[in-house]
Amino acid sequence: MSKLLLKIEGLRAQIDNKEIIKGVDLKVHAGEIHIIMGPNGAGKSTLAYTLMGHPNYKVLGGQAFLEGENLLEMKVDERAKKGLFLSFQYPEVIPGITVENFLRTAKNAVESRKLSIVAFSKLLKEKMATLGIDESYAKRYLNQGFSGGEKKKNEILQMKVLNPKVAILDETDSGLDVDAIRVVAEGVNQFANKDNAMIIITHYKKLLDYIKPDYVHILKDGQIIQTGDIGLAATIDEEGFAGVNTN
Amino acid sequence: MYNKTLLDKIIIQSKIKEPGQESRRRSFERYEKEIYPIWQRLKIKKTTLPDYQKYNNQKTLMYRQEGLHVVPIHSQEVLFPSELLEKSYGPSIKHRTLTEAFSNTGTYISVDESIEITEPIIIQMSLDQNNPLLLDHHVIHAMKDSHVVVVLDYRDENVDGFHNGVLNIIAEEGADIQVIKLQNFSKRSTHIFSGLALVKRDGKVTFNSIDLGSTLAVTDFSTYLQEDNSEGIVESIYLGDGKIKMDLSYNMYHEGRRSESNILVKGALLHEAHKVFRGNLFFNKGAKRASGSEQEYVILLNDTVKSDSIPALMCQEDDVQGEHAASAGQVDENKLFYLMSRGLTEKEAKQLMIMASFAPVIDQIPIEGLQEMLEKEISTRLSS
Ligand SMILES: Nc1ncnc2c1ncn2[C@@H]1O[C@H](COP(=O)(O)OP(=O)(O)O)[C@@H](O)[C@H]1O
Ligand SMILES: [Mg+2]
Repeated sequence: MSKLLLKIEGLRAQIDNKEIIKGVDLKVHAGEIHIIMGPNGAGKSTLAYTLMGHPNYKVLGGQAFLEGENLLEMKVDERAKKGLFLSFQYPEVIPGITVENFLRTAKNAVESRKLSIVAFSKLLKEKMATLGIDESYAKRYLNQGFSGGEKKKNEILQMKVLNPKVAILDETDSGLDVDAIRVVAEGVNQFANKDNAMIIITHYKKLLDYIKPDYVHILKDGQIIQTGDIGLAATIDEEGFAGVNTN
Repeated sequence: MYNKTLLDKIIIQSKIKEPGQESRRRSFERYEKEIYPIWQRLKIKKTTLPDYQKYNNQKTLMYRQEGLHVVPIHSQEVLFPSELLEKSYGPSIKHRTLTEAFSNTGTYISVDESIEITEPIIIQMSLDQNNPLLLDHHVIHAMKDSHVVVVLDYRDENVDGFHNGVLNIIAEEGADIQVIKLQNFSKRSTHIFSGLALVKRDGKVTFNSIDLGSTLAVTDFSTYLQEDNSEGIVESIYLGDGKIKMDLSYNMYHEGRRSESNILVKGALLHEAHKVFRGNLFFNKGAKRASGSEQEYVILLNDTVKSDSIPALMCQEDDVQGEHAASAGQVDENKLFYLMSRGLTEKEAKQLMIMASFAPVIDQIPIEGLQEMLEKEISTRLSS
């Protein structure tokens, strides 16, 4: 079996004094694509934020390991440096910092080998081209004036540039038109390889026209209530989450 | 110390001629009538002045160009337009007239009609063991349709320095002047600065203040938009750390019709810094269809800092537009998380957020290496 990258055991987390994640177990190996589906408010984003270490999300119990190291003890930037990445459901807008400047700073932060400005610029252009993002976006302020689709493409761009081991994509496909979903999906497929893994949180089945997951999990009320293959996603599409067997 | 005997001595030793003599004497008369102020908000009750001494550490970097005249202020026969002396400006009249009368260095820059000075003129003034007192008085006079950029660069080395500077700017019809004050004193020096700009028809004066240091930083810059379509801009950034006290005040006097002013100030405060910002827009009778705006945004990095913002709008004319906006707050937690999730440490993320906030001002300033210098300064302050 391939290498275990992320191991989550009995994870419980709260926000605003309310327990949202109520015991989640998940194992993610290198080369795998996991899909997490679930109704609005199930706690999908909360799970993602908790793993990334948002200060407002408090861990109540359980454990999480990234390549055997205790993820929950690390600072946010240490998690990123270890290879965890989160594509935000709602990316922040930061006027005053260009995409290029930001990504170069980030790339140099996560990698021990520093890239020259020229080398980085070349890398960025390459990755932008694969996503059909115009070069001019490199000089624009981070997410400022970007459409919903552009913001999401920009998240995928960041993922490709930073090259994480485990990438969590939180509804990167929502709010996108069919073409944009295809571009995002292609980006995901180009990125996925035998050494990394992806956890894709999604609401819709559309993305699954392009992406072949190894596992589909249903998260409801803070717990993974069912795990299956792509067939499970089809069931949900036909019957909604109510149709999922919760035992 | 600062009496008539000293003034006579300076006039003789520096061979100051008329009408330079006369303007110094007039400022001295005024100086004698005034008293040192109590800066109540900053809780500064007493001003201690170091004894007078000469200053020999000014370096002026520039390219010679037809139509550009740059001369030392006290060795030459310079004429101060009398209206300069009569205007109200400066954080205190006492400090301002002290330097007008006793200045120990300074430059008189004038640019002939329709001349465009292509490279910035850089005036470097450093305080050190031999030159701990700086009373500099600069005058920039740009004739019709001319253009010039001047940088005043203040710094110090291992000294308890005292700086009390005066800057006078006159933009004649259609002239465009930009002055950048870069102040990066150590925590041992005091910085007091009085600025005055007179702007004639269609003229424009931009003042950029970059305040990064000193133990006490007091800046007051007043722009008189005297004639129609004149324009005054203040775009400024400040970084206050340690126990610094800062009092920054920017005043726009609208006199001409359709005159326009913009004040944009971006700051960041750390540790126990205490800052007072004052922005005053005056719309005098007759300034029809004038418009002015002032904005101040400050990032508070510790809850031990103190930040006062006092915007004011005074209208004697109805047909004008004035607006102000201000905000003070911590670095947005979600933005910080976003940046950190990409691998930036908390410090790096904060540094980037401060630079991002400063960007609209930095982008307007033609000083090479400013970006890198600020990044370094911010990083140092965040670490201490
Ligand atoms: N910042 C917050 N403050 C308070 N409650 C929150 C916050 N964020 C999320 N919640 C609550 O947590 C629950 C799960 O939200 P979320 O994880 O965003 O769900 P999902 O991503 O599955 O739609 C919801 O009931 C939501 O109202
Ligand atoms: Mg969500």
